[in-house]
Amino acid sequence: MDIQTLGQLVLSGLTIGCVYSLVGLGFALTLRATELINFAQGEMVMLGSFIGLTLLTTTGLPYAAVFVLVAIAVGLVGVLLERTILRPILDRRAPLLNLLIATLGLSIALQALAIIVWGREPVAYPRLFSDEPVMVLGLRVQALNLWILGLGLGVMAALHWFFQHTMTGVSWRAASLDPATAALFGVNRRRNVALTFAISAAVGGAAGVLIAPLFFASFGIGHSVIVKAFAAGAIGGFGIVGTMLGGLALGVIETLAAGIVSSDYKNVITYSALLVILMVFYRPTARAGRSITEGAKVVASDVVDLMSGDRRRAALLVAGGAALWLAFLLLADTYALRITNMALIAAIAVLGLQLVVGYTGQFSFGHAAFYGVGAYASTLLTMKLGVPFVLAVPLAGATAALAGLLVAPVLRLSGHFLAIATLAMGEIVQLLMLNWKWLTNGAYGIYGIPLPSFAGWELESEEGFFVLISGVLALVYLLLRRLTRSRFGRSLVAVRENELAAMSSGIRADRQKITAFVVGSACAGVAGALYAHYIAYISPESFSFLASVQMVTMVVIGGLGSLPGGIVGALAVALLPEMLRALADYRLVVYGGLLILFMMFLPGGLADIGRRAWRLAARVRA
Amino acid sequence: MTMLLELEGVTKRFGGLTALDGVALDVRAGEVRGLIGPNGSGKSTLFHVASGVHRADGGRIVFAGEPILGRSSDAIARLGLARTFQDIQLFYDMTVLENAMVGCHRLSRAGALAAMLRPPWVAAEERMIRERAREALAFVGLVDLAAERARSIPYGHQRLLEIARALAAEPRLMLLDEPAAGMNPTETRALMHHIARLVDRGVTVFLVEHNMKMVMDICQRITVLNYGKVIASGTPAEVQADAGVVEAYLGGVAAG
Amino acid sequence: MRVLLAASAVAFGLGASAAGAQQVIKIGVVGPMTGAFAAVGQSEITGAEMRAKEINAAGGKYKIELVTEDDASNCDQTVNATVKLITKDNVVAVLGAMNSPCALAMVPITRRYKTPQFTAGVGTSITKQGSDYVFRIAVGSIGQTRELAAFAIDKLGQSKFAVIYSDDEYGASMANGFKDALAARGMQPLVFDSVPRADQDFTGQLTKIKASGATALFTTGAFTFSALMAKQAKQLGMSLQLLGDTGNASPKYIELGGDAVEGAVLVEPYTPADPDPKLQAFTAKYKQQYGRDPDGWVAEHYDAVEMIHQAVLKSGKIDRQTVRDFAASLKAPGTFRGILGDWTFDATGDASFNLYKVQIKGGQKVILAR
Repeated sequence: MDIQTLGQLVLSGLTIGCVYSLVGLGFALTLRATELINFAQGEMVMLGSFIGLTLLTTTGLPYAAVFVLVAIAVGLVGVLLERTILRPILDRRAPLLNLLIATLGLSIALQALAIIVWGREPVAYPRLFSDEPVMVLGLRVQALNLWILGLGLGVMAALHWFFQHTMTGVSWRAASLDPATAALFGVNRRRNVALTFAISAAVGGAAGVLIAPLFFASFGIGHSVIVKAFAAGAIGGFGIVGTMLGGLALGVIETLAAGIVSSDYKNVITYSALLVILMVFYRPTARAGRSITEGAKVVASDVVDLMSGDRRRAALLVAGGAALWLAFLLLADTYALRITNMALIAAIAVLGLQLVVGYTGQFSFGHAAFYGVGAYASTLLTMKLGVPFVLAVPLAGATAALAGLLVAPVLRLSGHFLAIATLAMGEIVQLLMLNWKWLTNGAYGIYGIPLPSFAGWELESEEGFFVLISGVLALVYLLLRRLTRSRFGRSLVAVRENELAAMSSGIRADRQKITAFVVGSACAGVAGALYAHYIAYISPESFSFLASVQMVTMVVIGGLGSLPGGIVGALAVALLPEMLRALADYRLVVYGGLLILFMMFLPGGLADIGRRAWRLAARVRA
Repeated sequence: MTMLLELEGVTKRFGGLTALDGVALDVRAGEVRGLIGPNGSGKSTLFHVASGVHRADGGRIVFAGEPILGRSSDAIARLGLARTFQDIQLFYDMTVLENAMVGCHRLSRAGALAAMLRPPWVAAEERMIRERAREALAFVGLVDLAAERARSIPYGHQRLLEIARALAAEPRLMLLDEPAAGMNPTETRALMHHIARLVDRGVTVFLVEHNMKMVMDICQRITVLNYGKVIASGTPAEVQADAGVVEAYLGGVAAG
Repeated sequence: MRVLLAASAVAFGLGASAAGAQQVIKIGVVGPMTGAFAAVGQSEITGAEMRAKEINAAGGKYKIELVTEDDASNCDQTVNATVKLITKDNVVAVLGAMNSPCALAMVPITRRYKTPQFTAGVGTSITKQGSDYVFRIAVGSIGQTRELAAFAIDKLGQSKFAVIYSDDEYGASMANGFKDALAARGMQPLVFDSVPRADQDFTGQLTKIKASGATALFTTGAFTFSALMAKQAKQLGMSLQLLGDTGNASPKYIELGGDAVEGAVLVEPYTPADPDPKLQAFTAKYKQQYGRDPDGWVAEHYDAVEMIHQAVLKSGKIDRQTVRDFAASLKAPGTFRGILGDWTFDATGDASFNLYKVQIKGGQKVILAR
């Protein structure tokens, strides 16, 4: 490759890297001020691109002026969202995960709103500058690229100056390093948080105006950059300068990789590099710090158990559940059975995730990967090796468990770093499904997966599946219930609550975490196997990051640290969009809105309602 | 007399700061040992190093005949060393009883598979854990609060709960890091009573405390740290008479 | 869009009460109304909706009722929606899905419930599952790429090809079809590379193409992706003969690509450039209702609704098996003629019609051949 091509690639990489840096800065600032990963950061980019488009086409202002106006406008949106939604949740000191789900709801709702306002088709920006390239140092450069680079680097320089040289900036940095001490010196944490959201949103919006002329404005524009932007932040250690450099580096590396090696494995390389960076540089130093699930309620022995205290009431509950189950089996129509079956399959995987997130306090954004491993394992075992269904499902669980064990070293990381690492791990697994074509048939997926059969008798009816799936779910539930109400389960919660104290009580924290992760992965594997034989067609698309996020949502909506909550959460999150079908375009606005309201007013999840009702019932009797 | 815990030339540095500088001391089985010194003299660091929370940079630490320097805190805990923390470290969202039950971890063995299959011995073990935990709570007088969340009980009780959790492990040595901090005189008297009973049960106690009256009353021997170095060691009377100790404490906490 | 849907629902409702004697043909439509492929779903719905309105306005014996379900390009939702349409709404046939993997996931369901499925998904395996109930109302990836490759070699004189496809079922089907078509002519693409669907910067791939000396570039995936690819190639000062399949036949491709897609050659089943007065009238009417040119997907679904209508008219029965048998009976030209011409399905259920070869000149499509 000649030097000129190389220069061209680097320049192009820097341009896209600028955008990663800006969006990544939004993540980094929020993360440092509030310990929150703000999923809605991508939607700030989207808002920026659309508001910019509207301003350009209606006012005819010059690009630079529009850029500034958009940054201000989206910054104000950020402040508004912080005031109305995030601050009330922060003030309640809800678990961080709840806040995360609230931003996820915000992201979903904003995207759906954008579709209603601006339509679902991408829109091209008007031509801003002459297409005639400018020659700079022998490179063909578009005027637009120069503007993007200039404005992007300008914003970064301004931010750097702000945090280094202004009183507000310096006190922000102090507060992010040590909130308690900073508070003693009169730094107002609330004002800081508001400032953070304003700046994050503003740089996100600015990034939107920068990339939209290159890539069109569309409702999904934010999604295409957030993962990379996140990676930029991680590479830079979520520092201000670090994130800026991280984004630029990522852009250059990515573009060079696509230009030099095959792009089939480009993202595998990117994510693997990210994992390596995390593992090498982000070893946890202290075993203290706020747990992501802090404040969550949990049941670890039957002392505060719903089922304890009164065996008769427990029996009544079980009998009631059984009656409900039977009534549903007999009365529900095919469609209701179908969507319930899908929800119950999800519930099996979610129980596993509940163990990992709710009980052990380990963040996982890669659970769908194990779900996928189970689905592929069972499919290949039955189709290629002729293994009978009844054996293939447990073997699929075992395969997923093995996969879990293989990636378990990432559990050395904690908090957000673990979240990013599991995200990268999930992406890598999905990319391998795409690229190991000899095994998985790549993007085509595998169709014609046999129905479950038991000694020659084939299961086909929805009713049959309902019995099978709820049976497996009941078994998994029972096993996990025993697991969590044991010495082992208590040690998991102890690790979650306070790793330092847990270890000082003799608990091998790392081993317990790994065991929980492996058991959780096995649950996902079993669920994946059932899914494959139920839906009869699988492709890598079903096991994406979004599927993982949905499972986390199910856990949080159901209630962290509650197994029945996990099941109810899975049912609610899976069935809600189906029930909202009548709302058409407003469906996702309402769904996202409900997620937010939930996190604002029912932070303990659906399990909390159950607990309250139970306690009330107990009080009435007493 | 057997030595339960021996430290020899133990050094710990944080960046440029030397928190422990060649510390040597030994705790005899069955005694109540005090560790005192001005703020920042390295007392808590010494506890952290001995319990494996921090790793010493040099020296030798032997607990119950085993060299433990470099071992993780959970491995050391399993050898029979239990501890409490200066800033209370509880499992706040668990109940009081559950906190104590976690303390029994080292005495039980049921793992994930056993928990799911639940053979008879696991049920028996679970009963044993519960009994021991209750007994430990009863020892510090918290049994009535068993079903409360650790977060919701008063501060003084939280300190006692940490002791109960440590006691539930039936340790050979218990490190108490400022157990009386934040307690009123009545609570402190009760605490002293509890510690005396611990010794009766055969537990060796090694404690850091600022309440000099308490230290002088219950400790058989006292070691004094200053700037990470042992400046005196001996009976309460000997230590009180030591010129270096008095100097170290000038302007500091008045010996009471 | 939503206004339209709501309006049409109201219109259908009123129509039903006004003409009680009319019998209702319920047709299910599954497609992406939200999510990454929402723009494609738009063509599907509007095409079907336009014909349904026409039939209803004519006030014949039968009235069409469309039941539309969003799948957000998520195959689980596709299957759920299909089961709902078949078992709850009792539709006589299902149109969809647009996304090939999701269309594929529907096949076991439509087969189990013996409901005809008409899909514009191009993935090769959709019609290879041995179901008698699935019909492809588009030209599949193999047919499209064979025609495109032959045209590029024979008429455009190209021999140095680069192929870039988006890393999903659609892109892989098309790219491999194209590669096979080249291989049949003893040729090899000089660059054959995939890009992750979310990527938007292709400077790296384009550099590779530049280095390879390729003179023609076949991009396949979403039209947004192809338009971006074209724009970035232009920015790098590369002049390539762009080639595209029906995925680029949307008017949005030209709108987004602007100057950069000038000269691109596409294959498409329907083109607004055809001077045939009947087709011009169709184009004008669609444009008036929906504000843009119709594309192949619009025409395919427009015809599919009429095909179902015809099946019912001819047999006098609103029945799934009848609709299925009617479609299966279309073996030779002359039985059913729609906007796309004579419809035929082969034994596997694949439709075949001639594709237009069009070139973009001055922002307009010009027919080169058919």
